[in-house]
Amino acid sequence: MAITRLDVIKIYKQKTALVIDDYPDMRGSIRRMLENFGVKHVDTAVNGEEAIEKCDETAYDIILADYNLGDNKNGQQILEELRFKNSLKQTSLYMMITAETTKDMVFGALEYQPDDYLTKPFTQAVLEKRLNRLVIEKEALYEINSCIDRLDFDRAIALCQQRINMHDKYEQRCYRLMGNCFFKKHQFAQSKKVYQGILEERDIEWASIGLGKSLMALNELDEAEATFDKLIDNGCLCLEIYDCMADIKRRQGDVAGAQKILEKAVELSPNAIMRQETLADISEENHDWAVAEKSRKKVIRLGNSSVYESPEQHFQLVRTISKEMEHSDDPKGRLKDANEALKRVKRKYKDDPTVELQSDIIEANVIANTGDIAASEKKISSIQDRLEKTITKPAQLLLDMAQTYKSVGDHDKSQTLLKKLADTYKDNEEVSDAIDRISDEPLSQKGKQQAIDLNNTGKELFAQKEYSKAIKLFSQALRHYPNNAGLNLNLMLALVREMSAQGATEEQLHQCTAAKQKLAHIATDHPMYDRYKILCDHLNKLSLAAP
Amino acid sequence: MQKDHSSNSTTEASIDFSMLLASSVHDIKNSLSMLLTSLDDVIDINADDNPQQRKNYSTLRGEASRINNALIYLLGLYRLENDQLSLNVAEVYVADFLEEQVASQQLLFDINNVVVTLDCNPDLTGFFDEHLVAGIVNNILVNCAKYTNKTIRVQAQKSNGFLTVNIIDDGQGYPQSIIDNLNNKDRSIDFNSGSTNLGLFFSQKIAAIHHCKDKYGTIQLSNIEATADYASGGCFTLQLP
Repeated sequence: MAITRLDVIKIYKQKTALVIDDYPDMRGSIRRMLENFGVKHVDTAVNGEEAIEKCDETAYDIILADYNLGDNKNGQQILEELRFKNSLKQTSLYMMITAETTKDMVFGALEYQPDDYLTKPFTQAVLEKRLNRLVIEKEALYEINSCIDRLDFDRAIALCQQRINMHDKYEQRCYRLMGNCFFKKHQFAQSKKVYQGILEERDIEWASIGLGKSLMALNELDEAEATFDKLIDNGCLCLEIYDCMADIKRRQGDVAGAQKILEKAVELSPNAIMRQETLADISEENHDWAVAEKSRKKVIRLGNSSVYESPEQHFQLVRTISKEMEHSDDPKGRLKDANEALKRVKRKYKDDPTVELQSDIIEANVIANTGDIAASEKKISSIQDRLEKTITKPAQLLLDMAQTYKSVGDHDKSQTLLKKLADTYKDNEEVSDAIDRISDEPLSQKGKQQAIDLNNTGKELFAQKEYSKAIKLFSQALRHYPNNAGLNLNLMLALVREMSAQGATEEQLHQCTAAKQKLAHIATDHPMYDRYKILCDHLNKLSLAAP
Repeated sequence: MQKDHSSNSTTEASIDFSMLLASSVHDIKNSLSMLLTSLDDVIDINADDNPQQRKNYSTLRGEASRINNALIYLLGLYRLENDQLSLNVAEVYVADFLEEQVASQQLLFDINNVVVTLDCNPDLTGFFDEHLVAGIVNNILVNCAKYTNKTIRVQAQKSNGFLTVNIIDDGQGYPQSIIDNLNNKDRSIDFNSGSTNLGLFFSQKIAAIHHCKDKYGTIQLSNIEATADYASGGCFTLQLP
């Protein structure tokens, strides 16, 4: 069933193509070549914007894109955007034309890889041979790819198995598609098996990445970590593996490790906006304000006049600065930066009253963090009225309000607001997590359960006198819920016990004092008050006894 | 990619130089691409009426290919030296791959009246860095086009866990000095001998960085005796795990 030259021409006669190149002579030359092969219709685009626009209008079968398109989006970024927007079918082919070895090109994810790379210079004969190879392959696997386009993974898997049984040259391609289909169907044990089978023969990048992701989904974190470690060592430029690795580290409780990995990925590809946001969140957890702030600023720059742009990115920057103030000896020093950022967002969205209101709420919080409670309270009183009159109040706006109440010491108002939010958004994990981060006690279902689990583990450790382990456990949990009263109290207890047994270090005293300050506002009728008082006395004695 | 991300001033300087090198190569390759395409057009038009002119054009084309190969070596060796060269190993359809390499030099073969035959199972697949191995095969093909008598035979098969590609010509064979030099592990490039054999040096490096489990790639040169079917000649062998 060999495909003849005539068959190939027949295939081309039904195809449409797009050529993306910034260099007019190249564009014309490639276009003529494609027409010579018999392609029905050939369009051209000068840059990424034009290319994406044309792809939205026409579903091209063949896309040839130069990697280097001057200052514009490069060929890889175009491909990622097309795939992200689902405007490139699995049955279509995307060939990247490059000037040098493909290894320099980072790619965001496995599925963002082009079907093939063609290196310059090439003659018509070479392009023809290469394109024939791909067109024939796409034709041979058309049914499978078309099932994947329709999300009919079961049929795609069955067709892959049929093709694999033929043991022809497409065998490995089919294993790759099959592994991907199992993964998309969330049948991770099966996808793992497919990838392991391939890897028994030799190390292949796509199979290793697939295996790592399957292991992660199966919660086999150590094995997944080893797989990704090896890929990173081998210089794999698929950035998805860094995101996976950071997620593993985070799930293992190693937030510092997660930050390190993301910083490396950001160095390799500085322009991925979502990764920058994740890095900012993680660095905040690590209290690495410099990195967090830098990433927030980068997010704003990247988002500028793109589909990702939103006032929230500006607010995030101010919240980061504000948190830094909470932990700083000189909070006033950051006031100017915070105010400038707020001014910018107000100017940018000057016709949006919600943005103005939210800016003022955040500003009141910033003022409170400088220590000027009176000024902050004055600001709040000017806000309350407007807040009442606002009809649609986004969750984030109310979270900011709760944070501001808390910062000026109005814990009742803060908790009331948060409880209401927890009720309204009980099915929204993101909002629930944010509530628990501000609140003194966990308010979301998940947070409550976690607190119970943590307390139980903590009790066991206390019973076994494993105080240093308990200290570690509560410190880690406090990174997620810094204000949680129970956690702070338990941490104090663990520290006091450890210091009484082993002698106090300066760092431990410092940590214990920080926890004490977090609890300073609890009322005398609070159920934890008595224990808190006793621990304070112990801490005082330990401080006095310390050298 | 550099594995060491510690940034001191020297690595930063070398990254800059690497960028400069890469963008120069990009420009030169654009120009070469246009040059080759235009040459192909002109040569096609004049194919029958002026053989002498066609020969001149083809010399031009052969030299353009050599410039391109030299560029690949230059950048590749620079990267190798700086630990920046890493492999992009993927599954390759060997028959298609070899056909492409022959096609890229077809004009050169035509002008020298060389017939190239390809002996490879269409279902044979291999695992290697296509771009780098294309450089190896191309270098040998261009060389053979110059030195062979009438034919070049390209054969590929899989045995003992290795993919073996033989490129056999029916010319004078490889000089013993080159064969010996290739087998001498301690050799260096002799810049005074006129021919640096940079291509072979590069090919050897590229073959050697291909590995799977504990097997490594190699290249070999040999001369083969005449048989009933084939004349004697030189044989280049590339083995990849």
